Amino acid sequence: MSTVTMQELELETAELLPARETLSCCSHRSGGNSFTQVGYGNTAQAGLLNVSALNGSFDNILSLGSGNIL
Amino acid sequence: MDPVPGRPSGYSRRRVVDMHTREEQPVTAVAEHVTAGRPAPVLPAADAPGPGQVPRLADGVELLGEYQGSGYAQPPSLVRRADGQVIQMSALLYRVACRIDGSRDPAAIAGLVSEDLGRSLTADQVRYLISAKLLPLGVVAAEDAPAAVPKANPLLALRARGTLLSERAANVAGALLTPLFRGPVVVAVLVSIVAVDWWLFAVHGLGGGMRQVLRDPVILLIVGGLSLVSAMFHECGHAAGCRYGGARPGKIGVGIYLVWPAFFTNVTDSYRLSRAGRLRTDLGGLYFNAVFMLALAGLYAATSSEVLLLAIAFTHLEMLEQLMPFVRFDGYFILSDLIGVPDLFARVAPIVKSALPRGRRDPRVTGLRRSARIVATTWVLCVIPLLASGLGYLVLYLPAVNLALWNSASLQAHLMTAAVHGHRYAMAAVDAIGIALITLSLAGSLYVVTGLARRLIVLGRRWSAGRPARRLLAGAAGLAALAALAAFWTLQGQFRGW
Repeated sequence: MSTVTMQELELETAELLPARETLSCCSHRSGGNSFTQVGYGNTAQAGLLNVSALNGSFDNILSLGSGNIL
Repeated sequence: MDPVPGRPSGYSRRRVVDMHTREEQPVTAVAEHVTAGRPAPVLPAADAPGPGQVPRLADGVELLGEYQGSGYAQPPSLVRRADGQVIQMSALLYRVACRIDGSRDPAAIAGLVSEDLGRSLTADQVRYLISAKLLPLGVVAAEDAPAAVPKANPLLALRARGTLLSERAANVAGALLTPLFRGPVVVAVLVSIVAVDWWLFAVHGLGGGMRQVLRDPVILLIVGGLSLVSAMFHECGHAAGCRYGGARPGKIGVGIYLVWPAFFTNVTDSYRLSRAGRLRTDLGGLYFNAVFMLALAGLYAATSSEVLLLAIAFTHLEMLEQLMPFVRFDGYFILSDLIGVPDLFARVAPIVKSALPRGRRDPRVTGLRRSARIVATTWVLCVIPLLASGLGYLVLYLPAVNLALWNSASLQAHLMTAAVHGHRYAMAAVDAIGIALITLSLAGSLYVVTGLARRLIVLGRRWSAGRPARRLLAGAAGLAALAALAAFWTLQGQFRGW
């Protein structure tokens, strides 16, 4: 019967796994439902973070309702 | 502290630090990794304090067995602590944990594990595994006062959680909804949703609903409300899928993910399921979205309200968004379960380090099967530029973004006031929701940036711990980065208008 070496023992690992939390995000409800994302000038969406701030005025980049509906 | 008479004593955390003669430091997520050339660890001496102690598992520790459908060549096993923290561990560690029953001493454990392995393991080696690996993770009870056990603190995790349905209520809801996962029901739902989509997008169209919204923007409130119900039902789908597979879902709640409000379901217990069971849990939310859309289509058949069709279209957008694999949406978990790697974000650093010319080969990478390693590496190659550009953009344009958000909130507040004065209360409500969402985005952007700064500071301090020259370098680099950022903001004129 072979002996387990200490080098082998040191390679034994344990790892904390993150909680599995399935998400249903309101990202496009907060951004996509705002029918005023056209803003002024060439605004651009910042992908994952979904805010708009490039080239032009930054007024009213996220708004709902009585703002500038398309 | 003396052990309680008549009770198997635990191991001392204090002793662990002494035995290894190391600088006391927080336990990291991965217990230990070594390079091949590193000297072997020193075993605890046979006459060290308490070597003959009988170890016992910490209260509430549950041994879940092998992680099924693993992407590792040697599948790891899972242990769950009483606080719900799941720990993935290599086979030998798990075998040792399995043999700890509160009555066996390390010699007896070594004998049994040796039989299991077909290889010889000594009592001292068992002591080493217990004190260096299992004890710091809170799997084995410590004899002294319970110290804080490490908890996973994953990158891009949900924050500021609140409960909507307790664990018990989520289990009841999940159990009630499990019939929806029966084979014939699933087939009926999928066939029906294909038929509805074909009719909606190829025959009927969304023009009627859009015209209604343009005539009366308050209808957005209805669409938004249905969208929220759909999101909540989506989470019930995860709970039901988890429950159908035989695991217990945790609570359903709401929190902040990056800068967005998000519903969530804790399905941590699904780690114990087979790959199919985990995938059912992952896909349960999207499946319930389909069920919800069928309900909306039924309501439309009864009422002819075009707004319902608009809500169906929005639900499709939600479903597409959910398939994104680069943040912790359903697509991330689906990919993770398909390749059998439970925490892809934890592979980012090891994969990057392994790719460097003199990088350390990390068992979290080298242990993966070839196919899993290829997919995980490809995912890492995609996620790094995506996150870097997203976060980089936010940092570079933070004053401008926040000024824009602030101006937008001010304008919405003005419009809301006007709507109230004009007795258009529904419109005012829409504006109020807009203000709330903008405020949330503003707070979220600051939260993300401060969180990023905090992580960088922690990394810098860890890198330079005990090395004054490095500490000086890290401080200088931090100050230089701040100065460069301030100069960029100023030259861009981002402070104008504040």
